[in-house]
Amino acid sequence: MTKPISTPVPWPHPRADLESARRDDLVQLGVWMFLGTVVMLFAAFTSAYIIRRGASDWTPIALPWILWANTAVLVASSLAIERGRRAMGSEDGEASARRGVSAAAGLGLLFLAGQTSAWRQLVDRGVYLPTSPHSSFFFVLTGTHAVHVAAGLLLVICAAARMARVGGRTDRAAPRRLVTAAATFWHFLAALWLYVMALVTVF
Amino acid sequence: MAERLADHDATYERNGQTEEHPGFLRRYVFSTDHKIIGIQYILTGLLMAVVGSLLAVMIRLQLGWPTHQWGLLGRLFPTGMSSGIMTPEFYLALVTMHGTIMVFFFISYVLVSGFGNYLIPLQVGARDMAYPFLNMLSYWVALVSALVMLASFFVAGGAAAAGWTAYPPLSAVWNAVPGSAWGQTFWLLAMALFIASMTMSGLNFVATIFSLRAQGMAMMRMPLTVWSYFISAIMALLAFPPLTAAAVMLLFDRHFGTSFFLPSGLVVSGQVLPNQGGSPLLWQHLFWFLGHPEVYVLILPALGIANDVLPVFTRKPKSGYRIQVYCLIAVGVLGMVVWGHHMFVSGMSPFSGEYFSVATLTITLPMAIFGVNMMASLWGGTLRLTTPMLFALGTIGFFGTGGIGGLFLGNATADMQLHDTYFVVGHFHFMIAGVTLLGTFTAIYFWFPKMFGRFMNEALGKAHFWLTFVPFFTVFFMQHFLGLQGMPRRYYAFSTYEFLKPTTGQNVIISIAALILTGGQLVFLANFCWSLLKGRSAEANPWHATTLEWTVPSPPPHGNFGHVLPVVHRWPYEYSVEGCAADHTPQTVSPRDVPVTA
Repeated sequence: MTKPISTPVPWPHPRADLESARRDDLVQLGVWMFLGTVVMLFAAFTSAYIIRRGASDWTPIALPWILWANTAVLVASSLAIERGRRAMGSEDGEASARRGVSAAAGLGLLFLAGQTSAWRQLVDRGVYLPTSPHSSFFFVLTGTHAVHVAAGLLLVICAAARMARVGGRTDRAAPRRLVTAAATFWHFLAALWLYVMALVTVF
Repeated sequence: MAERLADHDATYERNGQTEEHPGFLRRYVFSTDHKIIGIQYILTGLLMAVVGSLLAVMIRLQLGWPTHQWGLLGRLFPTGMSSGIMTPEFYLALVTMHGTIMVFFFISYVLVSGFGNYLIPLQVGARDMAYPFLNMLSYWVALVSALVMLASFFVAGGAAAAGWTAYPPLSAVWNAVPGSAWGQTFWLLAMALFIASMTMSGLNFVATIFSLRAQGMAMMRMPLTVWSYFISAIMALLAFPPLTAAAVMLLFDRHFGTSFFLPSGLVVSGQVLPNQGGSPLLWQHLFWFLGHPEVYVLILPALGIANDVLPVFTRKPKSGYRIQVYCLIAVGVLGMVVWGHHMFVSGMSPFSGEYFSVATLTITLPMAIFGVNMMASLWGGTLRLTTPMLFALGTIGFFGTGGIGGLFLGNATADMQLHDTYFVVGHFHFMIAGVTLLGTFTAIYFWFPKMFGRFMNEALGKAHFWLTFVPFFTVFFMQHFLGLQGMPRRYYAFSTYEFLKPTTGQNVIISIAALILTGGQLVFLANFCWSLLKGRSAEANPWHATTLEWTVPSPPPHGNFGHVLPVVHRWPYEYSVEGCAADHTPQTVSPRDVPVTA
């Protein structure tokens, strides 16, 4: 290629002149738009579910009780990260913020373990993917949700690690951004789980 | 002004990391610079276009001369064309892969991701995309997706053969045709990766346009190119995820025995399948919920680009800028809710059919206003018929011609007759292939000087235009008439149908025109490579245009705008302002120097 790009001049950092508050907004905007695409994903699953529900071969399967425990765990996890996020703003809330986010991560892990246990219980009872359309949808919906939870968990763990690393440093903008993003995503996943539960149990 | 600069410097310093010193790999290969990523997308897409064109050549050789023995091709494809005669299954695989590669891996990559990445930050006055790392990731996922799609040619059974729409049961039953085996699985995986990559691009497009505009760059001062990318990215973000859901369910049907899309009592090669209760129609709905907006995702940027190129070569302000913006928004909304017009013959309720017809024909209104406005932009202008201008005019031509066919197909009653005939093939090639192809070439010829600091050759460019426009028009205009004669699409030969005997000569003419069209693209490739190395060098603003990318050197440095970001004072079409010496006023010129007209 031609002259100007190939000369090794230093690159101005792409965000060198962005105010901190605008960078916060930018991250939140990205998270919300991503959540929009996840909503569309589950909207598609829902429409498929409704259509498939009308077929004559629909036989409901009994769902394992542990799902209710998992629901409680995920909601608790969501509350924990919210506690952590709110503590971040206050002067001496560092420790309590770290505790909240770490608890959220632990509970998230517990949720995934609980989901695995629920799938195993079904398999032990002889309920597989193709057993009935209800079981097919159950595995696909909970599986897709679990994949998103795993991604969210990674984000929450990153946030917890980042907070631990910051310690007494003055610049708290970057970890705060990360925790806010993680919390938004995490609340969404809890709400999404409530929706998925309602779909597979009630409808 | 001085105060603003001081403010700016303070932020610049406070943020600490003001510059980076990356090595070669970070500069050109794993780069987070939107311009490099854009060029990577464009080059990848052009390579995929070569593959897609070769497939089209084979399709046309087959349809033009179905009984001829192609000895060389027979040796190249011993299973699909043993002794030089094409098998029906191989033909289906060719059609499927031609459509898939051209729509998703050529136009999407070059026009949407490629030029979108290159142009958006430059035109809105940003240093880079909102999420540069995500942007880099999106390119590498896109590349893997393209490689997976190409790899599907080489797996057992060959590439997917269920059409670019991948309708089940053909796509869901492992042994339906050879391509239904691994080829289809690879196809689905590649599409899932494609959607992931487009989602990352889309997030970047919307966030950048939404929140990284330069000071003074109000939404209503953005060039129409940026507006079209904005609407197209929002549509992509909303429309693509449902196909991911559908792809997951189809993969489960194929590999894990579920029955999402497979109905009861299906018999394949003499055996009844165990599946029951699934609905193939469900796939069609989910596919077209992506498939139809995808048309707009591709076509809107082409139209936006043509709109922006017209004022440059007519030297007059854009006509009806605001109306164009409102039309884009209207089309974006309507485009999301008309997918059912692809399924009129699927047995849908006449009431749904009526709704989809009316909604589809309603799109005609904003699109017609849009087209007329483009023509009005020429009125009274001083036309300069450079290569990019020719391609922009061609874009309008194809848009009008293809749009007329849409009136027939959007009407459920007419569509019953025309569905799955070459009328449809002719129509959608004008729109999703013709408008976007000419839009892509407009963009390449217009921004090549900005991207590489060199002009493309004008004589070769004009030859390329005529060798593209005329044969393309011949091929696809004639196909409308083949459709009216009842010639169905996706058949590998028509020699056994008495009522289609009269079309033999037409098919030969179409094939010859298609070969000329493909040959014409060699002129482009030669021009592209030659100009990259030897083209006449270009200054910062070689076309005397007004938008922000022309205020920086060609090619623009990393960070685009040096130390201080531009400030925008006016709309992007300030040409021939009365009482001003220069016939164009860049967006950064202060109202003290030249009055603001809009």
